[in-house]
Amino acid sequence: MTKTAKAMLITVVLLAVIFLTLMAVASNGYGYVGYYGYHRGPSFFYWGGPSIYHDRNNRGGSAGGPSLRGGGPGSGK
Amino acid sequence: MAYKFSKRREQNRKIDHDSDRVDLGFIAAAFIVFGLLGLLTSLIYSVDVGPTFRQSLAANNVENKKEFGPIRVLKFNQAYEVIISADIPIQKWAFIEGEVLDGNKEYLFAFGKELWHEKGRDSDGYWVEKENSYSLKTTFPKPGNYYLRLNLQGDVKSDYTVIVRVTKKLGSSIPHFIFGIIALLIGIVLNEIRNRFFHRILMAVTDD
Repeated sequence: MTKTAKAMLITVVLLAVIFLTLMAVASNGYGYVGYYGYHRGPSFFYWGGPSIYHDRNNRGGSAGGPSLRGGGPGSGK
Repeated sequence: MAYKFSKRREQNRKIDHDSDRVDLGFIAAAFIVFGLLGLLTSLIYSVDVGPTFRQSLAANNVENKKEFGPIRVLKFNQAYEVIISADIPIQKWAFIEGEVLDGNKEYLFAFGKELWHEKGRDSDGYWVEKENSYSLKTTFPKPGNYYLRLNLQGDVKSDYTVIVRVTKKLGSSIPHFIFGIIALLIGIVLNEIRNRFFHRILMAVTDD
């Protein structure tokens, strides 16, 4: 067996093991809110979602929080 | 044509040396294939599975803290996506927040975002822009019933509809997305070392 064939075999086996391990992690909902418990946010790699509020009594800026959210349309052109 | 003995020995040594080296092109191909497989798998994990919970209501009929549910979670660490959308009228806005509650209606966490719809005119002419939906992917660690409590702030007196949709997901798309990106990057770098693909393109462009 050439060195290239050996290296290929090791690489493919390694990548396949990582790939299959990640399937178990993915099936458990890794990285979303709630995966780490409700007091932690989502993974760094989860972006684009809404604001998350963990503490019911400290939600400044939210509709249900202590302070009103001022504003209105402000994100347009 | 006959080579001198010293020349032949040099050529044989070169062949031995070449077969002794790892061809990075093959390794790069393996990384690229697994990278693409990872990205495809991450897409598969974001597919909806199971029944969808969907409820719509008129914003001007929304009592504050209106509850939706139950969301019946049957297995540990089940991923769901909550999608909130509203056809906000022009020049109006609403901050729509959802509280996630457990089976005893105890608060777990909340999420929210401002939705809006604007129009105007500037030097480029007439424009209309809007943000009328958002979604949150969440994992429920334990089986049971969960509820959503909706809070609205802003223009809740106008006549528009708020739609709450909850869909069950196959899992999280994050692990295979990270894996796919990393594997692809490694594959591209190895391929560049072996074949100098981008280098040749760059040279061709600069030669022109």
